[in-house]
Amino acid sequence: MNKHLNDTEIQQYVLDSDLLSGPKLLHIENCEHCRLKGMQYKLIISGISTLPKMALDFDAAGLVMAKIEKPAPNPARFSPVNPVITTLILLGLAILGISAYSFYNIGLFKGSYILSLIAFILLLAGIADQYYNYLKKLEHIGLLK
Amino acid sequence: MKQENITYGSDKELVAGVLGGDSQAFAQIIRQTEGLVAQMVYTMAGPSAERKDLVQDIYMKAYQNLPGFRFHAKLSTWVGQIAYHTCLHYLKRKKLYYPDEFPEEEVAIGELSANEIFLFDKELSGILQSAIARLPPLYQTLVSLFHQEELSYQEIREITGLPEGTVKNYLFRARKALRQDLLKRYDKNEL
Repeated sequence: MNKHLNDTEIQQYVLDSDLLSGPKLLHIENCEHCRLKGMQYKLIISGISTLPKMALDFDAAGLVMAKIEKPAPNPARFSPVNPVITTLILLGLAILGISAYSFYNIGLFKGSYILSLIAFILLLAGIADQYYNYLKKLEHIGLLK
Repeated sequence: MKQENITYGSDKELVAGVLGGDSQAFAQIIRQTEGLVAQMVYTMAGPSAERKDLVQDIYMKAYQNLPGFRFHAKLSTWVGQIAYHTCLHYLKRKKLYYPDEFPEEEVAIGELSANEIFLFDKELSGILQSAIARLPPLYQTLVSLFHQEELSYQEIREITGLPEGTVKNYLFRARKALRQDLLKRYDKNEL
């Protein structure tokens, strides 16, 4: 066999000579060119294996565990105002309902328009507060930055 | 109930510990796999300021997906998969992923005598690290996983998702490129 082995075959020989067929094995053992090339690959491979391994230059476990164990903000945040707002919303709805009924039927609550307006404002305030809580919950579970 | 200072043995015990609420079991998983993760993050992300974020991202993904781990591979291999794909996504985002564009230039290099081989050996460790750093990130990773972490072709296949034949081919190309690079820079006139 006159043709030299290619780099892949020479590397195969260095990694595991059993991977080469008889004629190729015979060639590499008798060819100065291929044998020296094999020595170069052997040096490179052994050199790589003796290089220092990469290591993290920071405390990965500490960083990650701090993130995992970070106390979550209470997702079911109930501000002290909320029960009051909820009550006022219901009261406002009740007044609104009664005002609408009196407007269209008996004049039981004449001049209840101001009350209706107050009820409406309270209703808006309640909706705004609930929406704010909803945004906070979304932010907590990461759906809102 | 959190258990303190318990060292878990097998992968099953570790996972059971984490799922049972012992966060220190996950700290143990991190310590056992950070070497493998470091190899991939350093070779694929390089000296990037985002390395720390990448590592945290990798382990947070591992923590969140641990309930779905079915022991189809070793736990370290599974973490390695997450690390590899996270780094790969990073490379693609940075437009640095180009394994098939790696030029296989055939540089005419003269023969080296046995004496020159000896001198080549002496200087090799000093220049090998920088030669490896000049390889494309994916080749650096494969070289590191095979020769330094001593993973098998099968384990590298499981981590990267690349066919075993492709892993072998890339490794052959990487080593050939290293040899070409080293000999090109190795000035025989300095002997």
